[in-house]
Amino acid sequence: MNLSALKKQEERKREAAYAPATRWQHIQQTITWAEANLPPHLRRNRPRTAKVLPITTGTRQPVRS
Amino acid sequence: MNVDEILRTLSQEQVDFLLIGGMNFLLRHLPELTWDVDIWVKDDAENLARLNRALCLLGAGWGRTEAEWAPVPADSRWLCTQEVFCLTTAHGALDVFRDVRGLEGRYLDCKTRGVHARTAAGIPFAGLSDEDMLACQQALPVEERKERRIQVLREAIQQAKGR
Repeated sequence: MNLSALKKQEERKREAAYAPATRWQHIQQTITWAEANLPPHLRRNRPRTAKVLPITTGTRQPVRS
Repeated sequence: MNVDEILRTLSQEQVDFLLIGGMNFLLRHLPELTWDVDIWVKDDAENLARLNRALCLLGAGWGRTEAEWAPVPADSRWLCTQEVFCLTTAHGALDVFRDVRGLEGRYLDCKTRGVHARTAAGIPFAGLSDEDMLACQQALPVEERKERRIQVLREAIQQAKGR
């Protein structure tokens, strides 16, 4: 058996042996772990500089209630 | 999956291994859907014995068939019976490779070129270099190759050469 076929057979066996609830728990934990371990440039809530908005010269009108 | 716990236990038991596959790619480049940890281990009797101790601590399970699935035995000889094992552990799925396609017999060279890093929790590990990850992908049959990964790796290698 070549390596690709062996790997596929191994994956099939494991998939069948994995308890579904445990598998689901591991998948959820993996998503959390992956989020925390992304390369720095891809992390959410990373430090960002404030977006510079164009300066407008118009006079702001007071809001009337 | 608690990847940190898997890596920590392997290091604690002094297993000589390289992180390969999707987790290694994710930690250095881009998120990629992957549900298991892939490791390439140095293929000698002492290291396989250390690996087996780590697998026992991780609550690993494997079976020759699905019906024979059970906790791994205390004797490490079962690890010599084939080139790759897909295991369950208490912390997630773990794939163990005794050799890797495209890099056959070159574990020590690849370990020398390996990239040493830490996970966000501070767990140290050595991962396969970008050049070796690319060699792995290119050795796969076309239908199994991950084209996006190949493209990102080529770009990263080009950027590193340009520095």
